[in-house]
Amino acid sequence: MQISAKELRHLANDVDDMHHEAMRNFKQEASELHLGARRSFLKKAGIAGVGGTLLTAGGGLATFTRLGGLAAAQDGALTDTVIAGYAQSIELAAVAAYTAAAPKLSGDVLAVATMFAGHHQQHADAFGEVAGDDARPEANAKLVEVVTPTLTAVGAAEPSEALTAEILGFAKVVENQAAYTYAAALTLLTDPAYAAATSTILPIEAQHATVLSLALGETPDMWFPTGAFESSALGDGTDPLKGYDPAVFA
Amino acid sequence: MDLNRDEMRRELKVIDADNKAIMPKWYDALHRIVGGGTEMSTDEKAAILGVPAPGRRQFFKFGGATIIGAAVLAACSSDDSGSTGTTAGGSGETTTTAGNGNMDLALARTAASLEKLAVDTYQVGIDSGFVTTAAIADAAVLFQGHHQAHLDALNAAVKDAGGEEVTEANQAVFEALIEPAVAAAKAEGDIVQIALDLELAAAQTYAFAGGALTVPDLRSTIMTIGGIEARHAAVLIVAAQAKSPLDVFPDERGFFPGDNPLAGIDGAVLSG
Repeated sequence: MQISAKELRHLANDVDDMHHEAMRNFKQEASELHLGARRSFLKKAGIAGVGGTLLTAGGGLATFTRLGGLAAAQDGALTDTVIAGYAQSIELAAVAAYTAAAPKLSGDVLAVATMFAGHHQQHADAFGEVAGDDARPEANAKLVEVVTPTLTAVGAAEPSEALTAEILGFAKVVENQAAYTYAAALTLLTDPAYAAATSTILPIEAQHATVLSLALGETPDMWFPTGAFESSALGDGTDPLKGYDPAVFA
Repeated sequence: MDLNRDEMRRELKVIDADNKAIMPKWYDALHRIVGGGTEMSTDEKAAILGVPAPGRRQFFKFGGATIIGAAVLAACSSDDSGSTGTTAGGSGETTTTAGNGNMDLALARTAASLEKLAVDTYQVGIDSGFVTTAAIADAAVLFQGHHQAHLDALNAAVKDAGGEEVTEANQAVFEALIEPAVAAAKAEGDIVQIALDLELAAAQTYAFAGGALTVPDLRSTIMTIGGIEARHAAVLIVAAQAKSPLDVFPDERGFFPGDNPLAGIDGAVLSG
């Protein structure tokens, strides 16, 4: 399925609307958290009365250990704020990747890339707000290291349709891996407030990836690289069907 | 139901290797719900299963009609026994009939019936003769397959719990929502809009559940589905091109983003 530049812009606007709606919720929730109005937030989320129990249930660490990565990476000092800080750094790496590729893009494709970069920046800001002292306001260094060879090659090439396709394909992989990272993170977050916020971001990342796949004219199977369910597996970044393992990218 | 580390690792590998087959995590989540392995409220169970929840004023917009409902589950809920529900356009309160015996199983069977409804609705679209664009037809078949995978997982959980597998679509929801929309369809765009409405409702349901559920594994499991539904919607928006669900129903946005978008429809909840 090929789509025109006009259709791509229209689709990007739809995603942008959804993103802004989600971000309004996220920022409001984050603000409430910082104001200490947790009871109000939990009530709004339909989980009033269970939050305290959840916070002390101890299930989070057990789940962390099952997945392996974060527990080892953080020496057991795991909190939801640490995860939020990690997510912030991943989002900032995505921003850096889009920013690096932007000079090679133009027209509607550039507009979409700029919009998506903006989404990731806002995700990063939101995660940073709730991460508190665990905030990581710089792009994840190891993820940047992983993507640098590709971006270096992109930077050395002349703009062309082929290069644009290469950039979009690269961005699609990053978006998919970000979505998978959040699916995995949801098994770890103990506070429903953080889970609720993350649940508003994961679909946006997934839609980014699918929009990019559509723009590339890929076949339907490529719109859903892991089939009927998003992957929640984690890896070292080389497998496009796995998210970013904090044990590798911490 | 508790999973040890090795079991979880094996499951994750299976998901990575063959995500088009039955999904273990989804199955496990459902099994825990149906099997009663978690302490969850009725609303939370309803949310994870994507069925109407009591105590929430909800709106489901479809084809220009708005149905306001609540408390379908209340009458069959052990923690809300005696509650009643109402349906828009109805004459008053209506007590559901699923009973208190096995609400979890009833919910699982109801969710399976809704997945079957999605499978059938896509088939109706495919067979309608309106869908003439090959790419849209391909997408319909693919999405139908995803919903079939969900249905298969639900039925496996129902069967393990000793229940009767669901082979028929939810008749109440079909009559209230799908049938009139299909009857009014006159072009490919109408079929796409029906599918888009279904997918958006599903994605929103799962996004809500991702924050509302009490068990982290369940939240993740739900969002591995919610992400896919969002992808479905993205594809359908492309297929519909200039059409947007917000443009179709701009003044009837009666629910909060992330709330369960399905309203109470009398008879929608199956027996356990």
